[in-house]
Amino acid sequence: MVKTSAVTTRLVGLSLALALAVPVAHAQGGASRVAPVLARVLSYDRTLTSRAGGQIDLVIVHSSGAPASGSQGRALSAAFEGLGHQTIQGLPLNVHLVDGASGVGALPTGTDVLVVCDGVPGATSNALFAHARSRHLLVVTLSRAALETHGAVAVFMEDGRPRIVTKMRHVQDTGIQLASPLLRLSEVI
Amino acid sequence: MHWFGDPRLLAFALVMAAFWPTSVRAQEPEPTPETTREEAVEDSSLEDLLGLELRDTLGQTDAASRDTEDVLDAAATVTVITHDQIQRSGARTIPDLLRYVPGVQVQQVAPGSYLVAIRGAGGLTGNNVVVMVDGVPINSPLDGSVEWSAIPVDLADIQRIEVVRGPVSTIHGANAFTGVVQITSFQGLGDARQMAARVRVGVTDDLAPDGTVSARFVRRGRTFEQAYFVTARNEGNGRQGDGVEQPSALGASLATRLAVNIDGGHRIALVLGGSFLRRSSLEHLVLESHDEQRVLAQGELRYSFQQPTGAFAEATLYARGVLSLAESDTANFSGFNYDETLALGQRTGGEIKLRLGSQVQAWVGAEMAIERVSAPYLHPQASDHTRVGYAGSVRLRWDPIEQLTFEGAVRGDIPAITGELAPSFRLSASYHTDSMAIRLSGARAFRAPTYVERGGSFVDPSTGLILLEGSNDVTNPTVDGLELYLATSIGRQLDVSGAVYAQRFVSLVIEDFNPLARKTFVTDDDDHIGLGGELTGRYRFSDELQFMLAFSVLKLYEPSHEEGDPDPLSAVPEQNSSFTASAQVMGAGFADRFRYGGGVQLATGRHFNVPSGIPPVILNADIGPRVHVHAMAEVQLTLTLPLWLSLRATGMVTQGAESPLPGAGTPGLSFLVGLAYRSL
Repeated sequence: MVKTSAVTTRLVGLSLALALAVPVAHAQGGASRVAPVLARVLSYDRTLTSRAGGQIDLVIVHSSGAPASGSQGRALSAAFEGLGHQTIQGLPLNVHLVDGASGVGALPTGTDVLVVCDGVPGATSNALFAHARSRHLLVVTLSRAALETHGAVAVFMEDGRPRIVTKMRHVQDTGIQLASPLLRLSEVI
Repeated sequence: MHWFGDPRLLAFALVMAAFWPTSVRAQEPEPTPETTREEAVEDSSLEDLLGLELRDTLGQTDAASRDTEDVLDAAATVTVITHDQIQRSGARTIPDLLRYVPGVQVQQVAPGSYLVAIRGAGGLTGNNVVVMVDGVPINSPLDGSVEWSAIPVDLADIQRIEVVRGPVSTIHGANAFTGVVQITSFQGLGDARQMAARVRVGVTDDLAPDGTVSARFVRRGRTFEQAYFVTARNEGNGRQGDGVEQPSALGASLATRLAVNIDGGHRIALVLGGSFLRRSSLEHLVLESHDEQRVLAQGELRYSFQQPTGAFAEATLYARGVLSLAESDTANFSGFNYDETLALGQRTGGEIKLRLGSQVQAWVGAEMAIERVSAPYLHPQASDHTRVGYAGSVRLRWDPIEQLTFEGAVRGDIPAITGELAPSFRLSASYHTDSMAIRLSGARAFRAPTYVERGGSFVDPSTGLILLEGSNDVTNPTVDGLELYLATSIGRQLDVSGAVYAQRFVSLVIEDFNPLARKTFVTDDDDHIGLGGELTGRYRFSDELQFMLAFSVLKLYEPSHEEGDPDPLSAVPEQNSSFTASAQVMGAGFADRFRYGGGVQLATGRHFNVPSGIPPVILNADIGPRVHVHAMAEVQLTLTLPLWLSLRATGMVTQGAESPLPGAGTPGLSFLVGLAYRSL
């Protein structure tokens, strides 16, 4: 009885540890590969410099109501920080992490690129996408499913590799022009 | 108790391990000036960041087996020319683009008239290759020839061109003797509306007008897909030579693709295309240049049903047809022309795809063909008769492990024209990872004799002399091929693929000349052996700049050839030895507002004892090296409007008889300035 209890305790402990550790490690590992791809994707946004000021303001929007969303946003933000000082099309990159609970009002002035984390409520995502359409902003999602509803480009990990998917109708709607090498290397839907 | 025996300690250790990179980063010293240096993301390669392998860069094909698969896994050697490569090639026509595929030989016979051969054996009318546009074969039912300038989609509106090299009748039936060229029209960019239109005008170096006007509209929704293409072209004659006056090729075409996707995996697709072409009639059989008008139409109605799981994977039913009409100027002709030709071919068939467990897939297909040809130069027993042919096929693919594939396929055809069974097969074994593949394959293919070869009877109107005569004795030529293919990545930037092959041709249809200037088609009793190799390399300097090299070498033997025998391999399209080398570069700059590309191809081949003309003259057919070039550059005029201004130059820059036909092979260049609108 005692032996069984000890084994059960160990298994529960191990499960808890794995449940805590694996998603975080995965998110961080994925973010560290997604961030440079995302930055490189921005270099193929042919309209980026025309709407950016002296710097490129990339805003990562997460949902405080969804823990996974928050950790995804923080991991991506940290991954960008880990890249060091990057320039895109000659302009420095400035990354903001904001809680999407306040909707469009939460966006800093001068936002050039929106990165919408998974778990952001549909109403908020749709409002952000409508805002992006009116301001001709590039909206990047971190999953294929989110791309279908409110993104122009998705960058995410699939089968252990970063992957880019471009939804051309949304690109067309937002008035963004993407360069041909990006379209060649991404899945266009 | 060990520390790993305590679940609390173990959990703590694991959590610490998970957060270790963050913790370490937090403890890192303040950044030094060195680490705060700004780095441009453009210095990194997106291909590297995405971890793309050879499998990704070679892409996919459905021409090798009529089923979508990675080029690396295919049972035949395939080159895929993408839309991006087409856009930046600067090539003026599809055959000019094909010159840069190793193992493909192209001869421009007259403006707008080309003979395309794969691995050295093109057939008398370029009919050893099946050419498909959106899955519909466009070879003429009369003689298997291909009107390359009447393909109803402009080069700029092509999504991709797949060139399968080697015998592939098992998949595509008669005439897939030495290969297949599959052309896929522009499929759109996802579900966006896409419109493009362009005007290109210019002159050839002898100041003949040259140009193209074309447009497309493509929209692919989840349920309904539609695409429309319109083209008008004038291919100037930069190839005047030896006093032979040849008119420019003038053509216009319309094409549409419509499809409906219905819930449950059902799809109904309609492909329609029609072209008018006026060009010189000059070719191997018609040795005089008359104005010739051709009308060509092709269409297909296809129903398919797919199931993502279960044993029954897919079913396809199709009905397709091709119509060819020819009218010639008969005011001054010697008897050779295709005036009043009507050729109709129709095929109805189906195929099912089965999943037999997790490792085996099977395809079973059947097809019925109906052909009717009407022409005044055919024997009465060959003209105005409706003929029926049949075919059945089975193919199995076995993947015992992820890296290993075995494929076996057999097909039996009874071509409408001969009524004789023509079996074909293909066997292959390949080992493939994401970064390399090696394949050994063997295949047999056949070509159906043409109506001209079986029933032609061209008569000189002034003398009544039969100039050319077909024979009912000619049978289905066959080819057996054995091939070893290897593809691999060398480092992150260089991809290399190559093949070596041996081919044995049996029962070739050849022309027998006699002293009375009479040509008769006969079956050659002698076998012919072809040995060759192809090598392709792609070096990527960056995501924007790529460099490609291709080489091919080929030698054809006739082991039992005796002095005085007709020489089939010296007939116009064939070359008994050949070497080609090509280099292409394509790139972009200034934030993709400037795009450029170009290429140069060196080709040399040797014909010998080539009889031509009436009466026949043995032409000196030792052919020196010839060089073909193409170059393009385009710039987007303003960022707010997707208008592109382009300059193109293409043509032969050295003298080199491409064929013994008068006028062919002379140097000629075409210069075009263009304005294009592309909505995306």
